[in-house]
Amino acid sequence: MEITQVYFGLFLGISVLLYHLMPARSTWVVLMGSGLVFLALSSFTALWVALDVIIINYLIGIGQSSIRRKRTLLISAIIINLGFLGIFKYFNILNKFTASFGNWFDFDPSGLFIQLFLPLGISYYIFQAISYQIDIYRGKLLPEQHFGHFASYLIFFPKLTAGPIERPKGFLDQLKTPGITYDDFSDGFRLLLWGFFKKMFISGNIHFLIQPIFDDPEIHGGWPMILASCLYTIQIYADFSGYTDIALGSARLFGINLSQNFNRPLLSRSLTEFWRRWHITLSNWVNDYIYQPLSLWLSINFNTGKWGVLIAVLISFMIIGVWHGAKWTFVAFGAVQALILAAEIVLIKTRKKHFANKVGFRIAGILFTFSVFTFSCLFFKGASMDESISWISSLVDFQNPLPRLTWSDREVFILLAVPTFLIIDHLIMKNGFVTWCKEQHPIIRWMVYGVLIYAVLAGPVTEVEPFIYEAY
Amino acid sequence: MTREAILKEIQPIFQEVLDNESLELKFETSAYDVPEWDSLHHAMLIGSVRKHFGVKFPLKDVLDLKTVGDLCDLVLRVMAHST
Repeated sequence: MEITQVYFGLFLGISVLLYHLMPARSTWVVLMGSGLVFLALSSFTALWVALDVIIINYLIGIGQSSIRRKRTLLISAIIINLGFLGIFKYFNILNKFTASFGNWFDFDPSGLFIQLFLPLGISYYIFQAISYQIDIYRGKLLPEQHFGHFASYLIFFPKLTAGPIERPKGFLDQLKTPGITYDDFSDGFRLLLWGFFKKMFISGNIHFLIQPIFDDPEIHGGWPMILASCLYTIQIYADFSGYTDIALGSARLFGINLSQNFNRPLLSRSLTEFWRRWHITLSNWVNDYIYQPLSLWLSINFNTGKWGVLIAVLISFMIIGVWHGAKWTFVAFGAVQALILAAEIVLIKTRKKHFANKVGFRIAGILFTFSVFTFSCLFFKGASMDESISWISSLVDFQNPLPRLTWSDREVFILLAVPTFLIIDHLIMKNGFVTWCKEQHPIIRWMVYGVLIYAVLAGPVTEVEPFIYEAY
Repeated sequence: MTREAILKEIQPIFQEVLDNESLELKFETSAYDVPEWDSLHHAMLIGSVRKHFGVKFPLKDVLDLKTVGDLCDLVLRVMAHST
């Protein structure tokens, strides 16, 4: 079920209604049940994989509280969870190796191929399960005794498709004290509206504008490709932050606050700052469970200083890259981030000493960060390294004349609407759409709602594309 | 060695690693109070403190640190164990 389909609205509406008809102590039945149905509607594989992960992690969590061998249990939990992720996310890469092997020895290996489909949400709930086990091991969390609450933590359907990656304590505490206010409903609907606007209107229209350029890079070299690349970065932002707002808004209708994933990232003055403001829940997860332990372990045991930090950053960002999928393009995406971050760490004192408080350098920093991320997104978008490289080559290919000098009214409108959206989203609504709405006069507020509803319904001219981050 | 003496010794280490000469540490100071004290600098700080006192910190204890006071307590505890 796509979140942009009307069925999602129906599913959400029915779930919210059932949730509020239930007595407070039984609301978990709706949260867990709706998650299971949501998975089953995706595929039965998704359902049984999620059930396995829930049951195994629930039992290991309980085991950590009563058995002395906590460390063994933790390692087992991590191996099992990564095993699930590895099988479903990275197993298909074996087919490529088998194909290469077949080519060497001149036989057709396609009969040996096993094609596995990625179960819905597995990358997100597996990371949540791992943080649950590590937090128990570190003594930050008591094992959850209530199976329904634990299952709801992993498969609460608004965050199932593409996060946010929630931490167990904050989420489970909210389940223990269910309650909803008028603000939850009004803020929830505002977030839903803003999220759908970003997805349907901004992301959808950018896709309509740029996809023909990416489909045919040879005749769109130079400025058209540069423009399309920049717009693609804004498309990912609108798409993913739009999805996140829809997830946060849906959760508020159940009285649940999910974590924010974005904080005006396109204003970041360095890549270091960017990753504190972009996909925040993934960055925080990698920081807490990979980067920090690794950098501290290197520092404590080998006195590595800055080099230890560099190694830890490199490994962390390679993991972020590969988390998106088993493709060289994702490795390259992570590697570009890691290399620039490494340079920023090495130059940290110089940057602070000479550039920190100068307006020109701040603006240059924002442009540099945007350019680097945009460049790395050409790997992120590419189906293969060949495709990404063809786009990169086309960036500097100014030999072809501009393919056309006339633009349709709709294209001109989109090119004006996108920067307007960025200015409103990043500069005017500094504290987010919901807070901005509350500060406005009701007449202005309702006019804005009207415009947004119209824009969502007008949407893109082509069919709505799936959310970009659904694929991970 | 007292907690106060350790605080006095780690102050210049923090100033140097964080490149902030005016930084004044208190026991309750945490990373939230010092903008330069981010995750990138944290490992370098711990490494420099470890090197200065010639001790070895258990990773689990380092991961639980929240304030400068916690760090002073950890140094004291580790020094007591090593003597």
